[in-house]
Amino acid sequence: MEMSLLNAGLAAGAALAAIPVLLHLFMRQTPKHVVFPALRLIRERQKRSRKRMRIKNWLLLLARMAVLALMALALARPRLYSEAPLGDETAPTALGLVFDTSLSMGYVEKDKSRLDEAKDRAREILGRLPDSSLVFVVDSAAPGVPSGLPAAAALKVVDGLSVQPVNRPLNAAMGQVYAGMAECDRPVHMVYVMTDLARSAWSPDRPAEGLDLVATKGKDKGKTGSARPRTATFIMSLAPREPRNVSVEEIQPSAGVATDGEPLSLAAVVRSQGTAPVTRSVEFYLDDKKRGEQQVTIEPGGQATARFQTPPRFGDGVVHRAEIRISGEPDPLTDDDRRCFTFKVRPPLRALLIADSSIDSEFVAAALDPDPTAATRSVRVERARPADLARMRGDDLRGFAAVFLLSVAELDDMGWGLLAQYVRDGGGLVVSLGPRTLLENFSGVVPSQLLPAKLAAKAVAPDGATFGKVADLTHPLFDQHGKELAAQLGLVPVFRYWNVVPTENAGRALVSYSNGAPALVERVFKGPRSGRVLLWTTPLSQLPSAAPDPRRNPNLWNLFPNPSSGWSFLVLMDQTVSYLAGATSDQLNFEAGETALIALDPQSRFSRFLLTSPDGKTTEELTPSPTNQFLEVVAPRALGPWKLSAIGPDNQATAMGFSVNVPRGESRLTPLEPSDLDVIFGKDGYQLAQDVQTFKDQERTMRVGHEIFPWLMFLIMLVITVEGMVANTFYKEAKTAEPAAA
Amino acid sequence: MAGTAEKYLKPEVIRQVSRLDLRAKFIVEGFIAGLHASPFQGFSVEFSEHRKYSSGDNISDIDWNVFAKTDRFYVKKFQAETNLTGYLVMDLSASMGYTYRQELTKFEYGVSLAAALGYLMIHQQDPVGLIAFDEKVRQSLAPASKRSQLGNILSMLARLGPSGATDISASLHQVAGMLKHRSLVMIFSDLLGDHDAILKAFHRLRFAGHDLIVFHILDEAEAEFPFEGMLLLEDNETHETIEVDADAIKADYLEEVARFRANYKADCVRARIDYVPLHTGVPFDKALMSYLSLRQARA
Repeated sequence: MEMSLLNAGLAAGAALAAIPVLLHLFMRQTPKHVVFPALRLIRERQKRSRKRMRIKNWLLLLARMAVLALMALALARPRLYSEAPLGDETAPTALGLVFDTSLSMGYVEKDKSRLDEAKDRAREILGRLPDSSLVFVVDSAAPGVPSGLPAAAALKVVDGLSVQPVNRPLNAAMGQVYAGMAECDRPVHMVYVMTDLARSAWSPDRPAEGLDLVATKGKDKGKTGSARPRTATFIMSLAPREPRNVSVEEIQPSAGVATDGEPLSLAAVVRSQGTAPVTRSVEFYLDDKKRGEQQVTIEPGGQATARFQTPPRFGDGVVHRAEIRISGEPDPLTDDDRRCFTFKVRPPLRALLIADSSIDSEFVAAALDPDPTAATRSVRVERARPADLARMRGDDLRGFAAVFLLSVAELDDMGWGLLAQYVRDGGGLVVSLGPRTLLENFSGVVPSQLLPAKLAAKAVAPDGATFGKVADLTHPLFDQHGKELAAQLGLVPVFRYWNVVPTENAGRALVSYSNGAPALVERVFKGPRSGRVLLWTTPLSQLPSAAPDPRRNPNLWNLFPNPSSGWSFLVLMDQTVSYLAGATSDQLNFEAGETALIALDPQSRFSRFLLTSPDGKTTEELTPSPTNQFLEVVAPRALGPWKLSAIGPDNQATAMGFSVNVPRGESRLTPLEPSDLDVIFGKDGYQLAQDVQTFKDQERTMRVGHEIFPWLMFLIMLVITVEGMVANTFYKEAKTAEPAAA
Repeated sequence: MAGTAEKYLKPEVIRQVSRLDLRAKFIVEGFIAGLHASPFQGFSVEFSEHRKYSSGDNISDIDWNVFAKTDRFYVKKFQAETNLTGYLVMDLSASMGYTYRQELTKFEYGVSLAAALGYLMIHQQDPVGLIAFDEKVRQSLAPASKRSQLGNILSMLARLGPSGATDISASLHQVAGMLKHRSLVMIFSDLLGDHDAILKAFHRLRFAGHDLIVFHILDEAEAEFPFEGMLLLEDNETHETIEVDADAIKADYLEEVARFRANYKADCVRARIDYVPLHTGVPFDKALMSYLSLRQARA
């Protein structure tokens, strides 16, 4: 704790404390001579009270001296600091202004967005900035180390700030401003962070960047060799007092890619934050045409789901846009009141089932394509024998969303090679092992590089064995039905299976048997389009058998496809094709800040692309990657559906597109806790102010310390009181002597 | 004290009466008048030479002159019943000659009081004597109840004057040696001496069978300490000086005075001595009242 005096000269007034002593020495009265026979009484008294009298005299003298000294000290306005003071308000300052320009700063309260409020604060600060000061303005959307600007220029920069969909964590912005100010030679260094403290704008688990540049106590030296002043960081919290916000949190499609002729279901999750239930209209638009509307009532902190369905026919074009909007009462944060969803429409998925006999593919075919005569089918199943593969070319498999290899005994190298190429090109392969599966064939070089596990031996399952644990319920195969599906799998009896050893660093067991052995293993082949292989270690079929006792019937491996075992087989087969087909589909929906990587059909040789922003105001020309496999759009900034026009060599334009939405965290408005700020800035590395007055008080305190004038005045009053009490005791009013009669 | 006679109970008024006999007369008459007007009206004080004849009284004691005038029987002699020899013992120390702002010094106050008491006792036909002392007994007058005794007492009192140092205890021991019969000893002193020694002297008198009334007379300034500012105080007996801040020591001094008196009072009560604290601003009736209380108790 250090102390300084604002008016040090006045502290000399403490010398006035000598006045009582001087008065005592020089202003002594000449005593009046009085004859007093009862002198012995005084002497008697003095004998007993001399010590007490002396103490009282000293106490009085000290109290009076203390009063004068304290008054002089109080006038000198002493201040206490826990750390070195920044300096008074007239010292030239290096001022850092860090603005949170994330979407949550667009929250409107009292007709002002949080960013407008931040600008007002900044204007106040700039307005009282001393001459020769330099301002370093940083916003969370703009990278780069700022340069010092005069206040007037900084004011223009501040005025031009706006809420941006794409922002970097403010931890990084702190690093920018600290770096910019590090070499500034102004004696006072201060950084003001204008933020609503929304968790989404920070990385709460790691420190702010550039903290090593913030010297403490002015002991560090910069490049110039001169002592670097301490940098004080003030955080002005502009968080709404009682945040309320209704947002479209998510659009969950029934499939990532729509199938022509089949309606696509969309579930819009609408979330409410606040203190009272709200009712809102949720509107559904498809290609800018309103197709539905639902009323939802949401409890505070809860969410509701509005479900919509597209028509089965989508009209022209491959890429379509769905949009969910909230309407009703005005919302303080409007950017998250809509969410877009771009999707592709394609013909029905094709699945190729390869089996040695038709019975091996019967159950899968019935699950995927139950009515081959129907007009609309989501999956068209085609069947083939292993030998057929030999006649196929590489491109022949490309049109299939998934290829099933069902209880096949063996494949020749050609067949394995074809499947490997198909997977590496982003295809999805499902392999089920069965009684006839030949270990040697499946352990060959090519299958070993393709399959997610190495086959060991056939195994008889213990009595009562079933499918067991699902390793990851959030896996796309299981996430729609989650725990119910896992429970259903637990009801499926399993009698035999292949013991396999998942390939190291590649095979991942998704489902195990109740004894822990792997039942379903996945392998992912990364690439522009990720290919996937799913290996079932027990057949996806049930051979007809006269002997229902599994111990005596070596062909009875499980009752998985049997309807008596529940619905898990049907769901998993359906999900498998969707999942594997999704693997070959493009991602067309991104959160703001993400880089959009649009997969291209390698067969279509596009020479250039025209990218048009959602508002249609800007168009940018892009070129595809050298391999022509994808187009990279680095962190598109505007929210909404972007249009992409792919121009071929013949100047034929193909319509494409993608959507950019508000990051989910922006809608949450969850504030940082003080403990988070401690992690980011260090425990004593910042000052947090929730309101303007606290902000000003803290700034004053940091600049000039804690003024102890009021405490001194209190002390003076206390000393005066003590002095009065001592004096009164000393010169207490004598009681009138009343001689009583005997 | 609105009555003419009662005003003489005030020291500042009696100061204007120069003749001591008149002072005594006025004080006593003022006192009697005051008694009749005061809540002490029922206080039966018979100081007359006569009282009504009652059955059993000696017929030879009947005052026939009074009978001739009033046609009622009065007996005139009752000394035998009430005879109490009194001694007025005056302190002649220099300190008794002190006053700060009052009309009477402690000594004059004491003399006036003694004169009044002498007057009162003579009129009650009590024999009264007078003893004056400083370091030892300087003057004495044997007790007598004759009318002329009052004149002697007053004349001696008028001649006395305070001077020099004093030794109260030694003097009182001397007085104790002088008194042969059980007497009422009335001491007029400021008692500014060695407390324990003085108390021993009191005890000697008391244990010799004498009744004691101690009129402890202080000057009003000694009792109330009306001073302010820095003072150089001088003891007029020892001429010792001490410099004090009057404001600072006033409270302590008054406490000391109270303690001084309280000690004497407590010790006197224990020894069944009447202790009458006075100062020169206090009316005389207080002192007289204490005497009469004692007189009544003895009657």
